Amino acid sequence: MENNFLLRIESLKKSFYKGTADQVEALNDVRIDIREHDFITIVGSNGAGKSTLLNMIAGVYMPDSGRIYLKNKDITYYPEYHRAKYLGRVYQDPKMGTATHMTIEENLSMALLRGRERGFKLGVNKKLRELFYERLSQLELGLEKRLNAMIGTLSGGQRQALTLIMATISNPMLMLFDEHVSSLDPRTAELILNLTDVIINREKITTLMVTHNMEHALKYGNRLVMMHMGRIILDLDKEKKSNLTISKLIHLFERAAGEHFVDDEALLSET
Amino acid sequence: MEAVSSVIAISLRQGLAYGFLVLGVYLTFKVLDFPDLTVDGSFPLGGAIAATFIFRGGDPFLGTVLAVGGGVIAGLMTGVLHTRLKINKLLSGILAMVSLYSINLMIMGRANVSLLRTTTIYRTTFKFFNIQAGAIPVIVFLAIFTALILALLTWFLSTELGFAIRATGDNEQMIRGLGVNTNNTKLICLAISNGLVALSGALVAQDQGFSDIGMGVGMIIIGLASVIIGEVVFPARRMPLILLGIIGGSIIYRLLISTALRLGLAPTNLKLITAILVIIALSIPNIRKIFQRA
Repeated sequence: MENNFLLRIESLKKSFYKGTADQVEALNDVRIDIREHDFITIVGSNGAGKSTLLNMIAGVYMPDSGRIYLKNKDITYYPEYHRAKYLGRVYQDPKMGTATHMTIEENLSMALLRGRERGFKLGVNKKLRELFYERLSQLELGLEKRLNAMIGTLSGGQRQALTLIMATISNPMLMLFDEHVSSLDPRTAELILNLTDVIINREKITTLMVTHNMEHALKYGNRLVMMHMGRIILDLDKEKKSNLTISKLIHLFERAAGEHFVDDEALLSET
Repeated sequence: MEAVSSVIAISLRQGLAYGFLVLGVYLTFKVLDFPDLTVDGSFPLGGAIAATFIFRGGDPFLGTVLAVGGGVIAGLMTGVLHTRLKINKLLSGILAMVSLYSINLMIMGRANVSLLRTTTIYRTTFKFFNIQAGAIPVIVFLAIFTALILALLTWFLSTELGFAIRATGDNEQMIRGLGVNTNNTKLICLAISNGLVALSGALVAQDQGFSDIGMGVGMIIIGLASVIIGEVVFPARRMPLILLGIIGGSIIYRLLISTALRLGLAPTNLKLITAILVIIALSIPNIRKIFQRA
């Protein structure tokens, strides 16, 4: 059916270990419509289905049922490499977004070719180096002077900053962040989050950002979604979100889920 | 003195001829992170195709090209077993290797094809340039050939496609997320690798004057030993130098072997010694850890 949404997700279901005693309903009838330029933060306790939802959108797993439409195109069963050109992704583990034994410029070159045919042209040339230099300068981490450095010599924060540039350099339609600062120290985490915010707002990229941190979920984005046991239990727009505090958010969570909030990390970030 | 120079000559000659095999092993084992055992079958396949073709009166250059083609097909076979039929990496290689044993026998029609009285890629070249045959011209021929292949590989690995292949071995999830079908990059890398291995088999067969069904036994280990020696002795970070170091490793490996033979080591012990060498090299990181803990 025709719609004006960038991404429409209809009744998405996915269970793991099907037919065994360990069966998990990772996604249980998830539906959401995402408008262009939405910057959605997604919260929820462990096992709520946040990462599974992102993996489903990215095509890492295929759903058991339901549909995913990107700009009215049904991409539900597109293989991962086929939908890559529309998506940028930053993972929780800094190691996942970069190739360790390749250089910074080689990694950026691969990212720039996201979703495109790769041929016999040299991967890096003078013009590309200038582009990489300019993009990396925005980070103010000095990485632009180390284009030839191996990724393995970078710190986790530097790698994550680079992954951020790599994910956005080819202007994707949709960005997926999966707790991308949770393995970094607090100061680096703030730095990367601010960079994320600046880049997303400047490039106006539609974004889904999973976070464990309630404060971050409130501070960033224009829409907040809460998941619980494979379902979306809250979906707040900009106005409702701006009236929210962390304690109110936790209260809402308890009421919607009908149980006490037991996630340590989320509680700790309250203080 | 004469003994020393002859050991060096033999080592250069064999180190370069087997150098293409070592480059092939480097591409799969190191670049693609795919321990490809096809090598033990694609090396004699190259020898079998080239020798049979030349023995029947074919042009040695064309015979060598056909050998490379055979190696490429062998690599694709392993690749299809792994990527399309989802058979595990080691088993895919073993299945290809075992199949190739029969295929090589079919090609040669017997266990051994002699090239002693035929033309070879070396003899044709020397005749063309009017050079007296001997160890030095063979070494020069192989060195030029090696330089050519090194230049080609260096260029290829720095292309967009080359980046994608390297990333497939480095971080497969990431490069798939960037839109690369990693089944294809694996197929391409296995094809190129086994093409080089078969080239090596064809060049070795023509140099030693025969192709034998057993000439592939243990080639993967020889390749690995050479790669490891190369990386230890010539640590390099940039592309042409890394490959050059690998060729250096192949030559040093031959130097060690021919010295050991000179000193009275029985040739029958060679494979065992090589295997022990590889075991030691591969376990050094773990042994270090054990000592650090203690």
